[in-house]
Amino acid sequence: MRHGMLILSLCFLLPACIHLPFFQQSFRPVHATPEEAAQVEFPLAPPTEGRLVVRGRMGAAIQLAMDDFLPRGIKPHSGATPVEVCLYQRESYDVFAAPGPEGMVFVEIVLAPDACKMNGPVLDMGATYAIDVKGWRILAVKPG
Amino acid sequence: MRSRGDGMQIFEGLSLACLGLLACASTPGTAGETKDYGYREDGQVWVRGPWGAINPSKDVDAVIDQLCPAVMDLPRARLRDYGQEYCGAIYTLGDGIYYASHTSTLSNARRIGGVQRKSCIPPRYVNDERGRAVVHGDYHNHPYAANDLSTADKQAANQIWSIRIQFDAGCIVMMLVPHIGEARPGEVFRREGKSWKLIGMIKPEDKMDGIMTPVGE
Repeated sequence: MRHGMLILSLCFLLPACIHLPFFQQSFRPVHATPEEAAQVEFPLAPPTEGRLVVRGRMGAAIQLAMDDFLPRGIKPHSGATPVEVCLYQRESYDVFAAPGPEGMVFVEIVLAPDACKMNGPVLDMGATYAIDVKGWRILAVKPG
Repeated sequence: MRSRGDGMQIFEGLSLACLGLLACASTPGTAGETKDYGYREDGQVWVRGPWGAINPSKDVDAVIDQLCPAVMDLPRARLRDYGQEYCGAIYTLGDGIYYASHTSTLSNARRIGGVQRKSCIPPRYVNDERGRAVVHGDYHNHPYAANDLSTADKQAANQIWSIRIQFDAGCIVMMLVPHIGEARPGEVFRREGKSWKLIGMIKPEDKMDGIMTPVGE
């Protein structure tokens, strides 16, 4: 009887424990199988065509803004249309980023014009973020 | 003991929550078609004209100057995150007089990630029973203050007409002349009194991305 009570208590407590930091796991992307990985040939240097250098602060600011705009692991809401499902994908958005005043980076997230099949131009589906790259906070968000 | 200020904060919070619920509840209705706007068989948006709230004029600017006050009288037009974006058209019937159409709230998507995105589809057709409408430009509001033309508003792929009019909740009116398909740059103007002030250019190489280069004050 006492064991039964203990198990019952654990059943109630464990879901709550998932929210404790100790139980939380950081995000890890999916890795391909070792067989697939073995087929990848890395070049001696990154190809020059299309090469892009994103500096550390800029890259981290973009990531912070995107984590707010479309949080990781977010799933389309119930009954979402195919267009809405497309709008939930991070790759559907272009990003413009530029340094701002001291300690600030502006990150603008804009729906890529050819990303989702629409029945007309879609305006204002993005947002512009002002990121504090010293305290790593979102200072302000401008919708549109 | 709660202060009067606390009481007001609770009241405001409850009011906003109710507005939010109303917004959610009304989404299917506002997302659907009405007698004033809808989808054609090809999926394009049509709107009905003329809109009685706007006096027609031979001067297109006289029509543009009436748009923001009229749209601000529509439900939730300036309610920020709980707000509504409206799209309409400015057109003629070949008689040299400019008219404004009714507005449409049709949008491809409203809720992404639990966030209500403020968006609308510029109409491609105007139905006016008096004749064939020739559309001159589109117009839309942003339900926020200090919120000018977005990058998407300026991107070449999102242009249909000769001009695009946009205004925010404070009735700051902007005009984009995209000059799509032309070698000259696009132009962005802000309405100041009864004139248009050029505030930015969109270089031909930036038209695709909608990047504006500010013009010196």
